[in-house]
Amino acid sequence: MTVRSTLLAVMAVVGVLASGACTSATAAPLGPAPVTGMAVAAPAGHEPVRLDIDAIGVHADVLRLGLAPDRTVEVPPLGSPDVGWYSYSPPPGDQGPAVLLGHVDSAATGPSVFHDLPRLRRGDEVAVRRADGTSVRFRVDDMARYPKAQFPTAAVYGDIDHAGLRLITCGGTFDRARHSYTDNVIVYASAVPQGVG
Amino acid sequence: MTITTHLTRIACGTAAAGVLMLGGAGLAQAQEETPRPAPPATAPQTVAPQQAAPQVSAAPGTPALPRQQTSAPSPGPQVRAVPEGAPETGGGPADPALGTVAALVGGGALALVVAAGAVAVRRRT
Repeated sequence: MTVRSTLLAVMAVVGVLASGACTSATAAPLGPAPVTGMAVAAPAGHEPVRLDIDAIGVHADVLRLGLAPDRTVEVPPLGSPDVGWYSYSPPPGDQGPAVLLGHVDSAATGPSVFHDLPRLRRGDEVAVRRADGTSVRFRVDDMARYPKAQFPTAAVYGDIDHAGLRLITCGGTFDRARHSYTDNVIVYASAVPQGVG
Repeated sequence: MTITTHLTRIACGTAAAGVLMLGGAGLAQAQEETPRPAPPATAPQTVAPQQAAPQVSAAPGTPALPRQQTSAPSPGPQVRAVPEGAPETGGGPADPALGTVAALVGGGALALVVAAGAVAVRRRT
């Protein structure tokens, strides 16, 4: 009788352990997906590779940018003829504000890729080609210049209800003591739906 | 039969019931959280990130019950990491002082070469 009781007790323990193992095994694949990045993950191939703005003669390749160690946005190398896409922003054409940055000039090489950005006017067209070969057209909605101390973080990086584009460079006067321009020039644009001329 | 035997049987019964209940719950969760295929994206305007929760029926013939919002993921911000400060996208125009110095040095060198040439020509003659 004692042996039988012990056997039953062992079976009970095994049953409990087995039920625990079962729930663990099913919880892993069914658990919620990690939130970070999943909701806005870039569909494969939507990364921008080329920027064309005929109105100001910009035809540039697009680099991928991230965050600098001090948590400011990375920028393309000085003197680079390329534009940079802030890769924590949505790809151009996806819902949200896609952010592209370019230099206005360089002391070594002179005017740079976004030197003429302030010449853009409302309605001008911007074209972005993506890695999958598709292109997205944008129309300029607005352009503004802000002192660096009053950079409009919410307007540039905040959520929007459409596919937007922000083109950013420096402006104002160059402070030689600080090696920095006083302002930023920001162009706001919206994607043109396909089929709209 | 002893008290220990009865207790053990009760424990076994409870464990077995637990196994059945957890298994059933796992199956229900699996059916509830099976991912649905995403609708095709239409560039450039993408679909809204959130969709209305579908109605699920508890059993045939019974009214539909609203889906439990137990693990609805938050869509999160469109920009996943907002940078601090303003971007530095200008290296500055070429320094005019440096340009003046370069012009003076270049001009001086050219003047020396011309003067040396003139002296050499005069000596030959």
